Amino acid sequence: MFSIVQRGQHVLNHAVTLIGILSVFIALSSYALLQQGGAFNLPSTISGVSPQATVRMSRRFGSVGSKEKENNKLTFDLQADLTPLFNWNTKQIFVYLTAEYPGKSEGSSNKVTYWDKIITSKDNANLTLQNEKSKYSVWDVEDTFRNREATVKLEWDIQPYVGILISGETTGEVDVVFPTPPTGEEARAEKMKKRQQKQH
Amino acid sequence: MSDLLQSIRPYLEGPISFKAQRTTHDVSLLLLNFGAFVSFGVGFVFQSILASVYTFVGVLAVTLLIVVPPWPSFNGDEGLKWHEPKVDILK
Repeated sequence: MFSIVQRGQHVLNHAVTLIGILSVFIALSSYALLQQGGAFNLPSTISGVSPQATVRMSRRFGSVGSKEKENNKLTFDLQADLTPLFNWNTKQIFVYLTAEYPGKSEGSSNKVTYWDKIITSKDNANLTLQNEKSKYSVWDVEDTFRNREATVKLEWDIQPYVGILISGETTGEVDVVFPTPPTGEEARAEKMKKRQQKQH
Repeated sequence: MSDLLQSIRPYLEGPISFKAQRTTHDVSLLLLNFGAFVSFGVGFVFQSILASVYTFVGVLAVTLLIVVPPWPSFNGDEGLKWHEPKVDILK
């Protein structure tokens, strides 16, 4: 503490130590606030889930060597109030709609993401979606995964200002069965119909 | 150049008396610890991490201002008689 430099270093050093301690307390307090606000069993209503299967031959849809690859899309309705996920340590939240279904081997399960959204403000955290289309066309490791039972859920990640990423899921869930893609004539007829709709 | 540096050196060093050294040490710890505590409270009450940051930065600025410069009161008479230096090391 003899000279200006020593005193400056001492004060700044102690300040940095305190910022570290402060960050830990902020992270812990925000976790406690989430627990208290019931963030880990938030209700959500997923309804009107209608999956559609298509067969793709493009590499962009998981096909290798132009082999037929089954793809899945869906439309859904969603009602979920995610405002309890926002507190003073929440920077943004990432919400995503997943489907979990049994995998190839016994006891394994696969998970795919159909739709996601980044919410940066508390004002936009009350989600009401009608007939929303999935953002992603999903496929499996295997070429086909039709007729498997999947559980559709809404999950979330909180990206905090300080601390670790916190994940969880809402309580609402819906069971769907992956459909069989239309074949031959059916597919062609559907394509023609879509093309006509586009022209009008 | 060397002469110039030598001439401003006493102002850059800013020494204070040994009692004031203890005081500044205690004051800086007290202010910063209290400031951290208060800034957590302010952030929690307003539910805003920015409020917390601003409070802490404010306390840090005040602490630096109080502790770092060699204020005249940090170099008062401490009632001690020092021996005359045998060699002037600055020469």
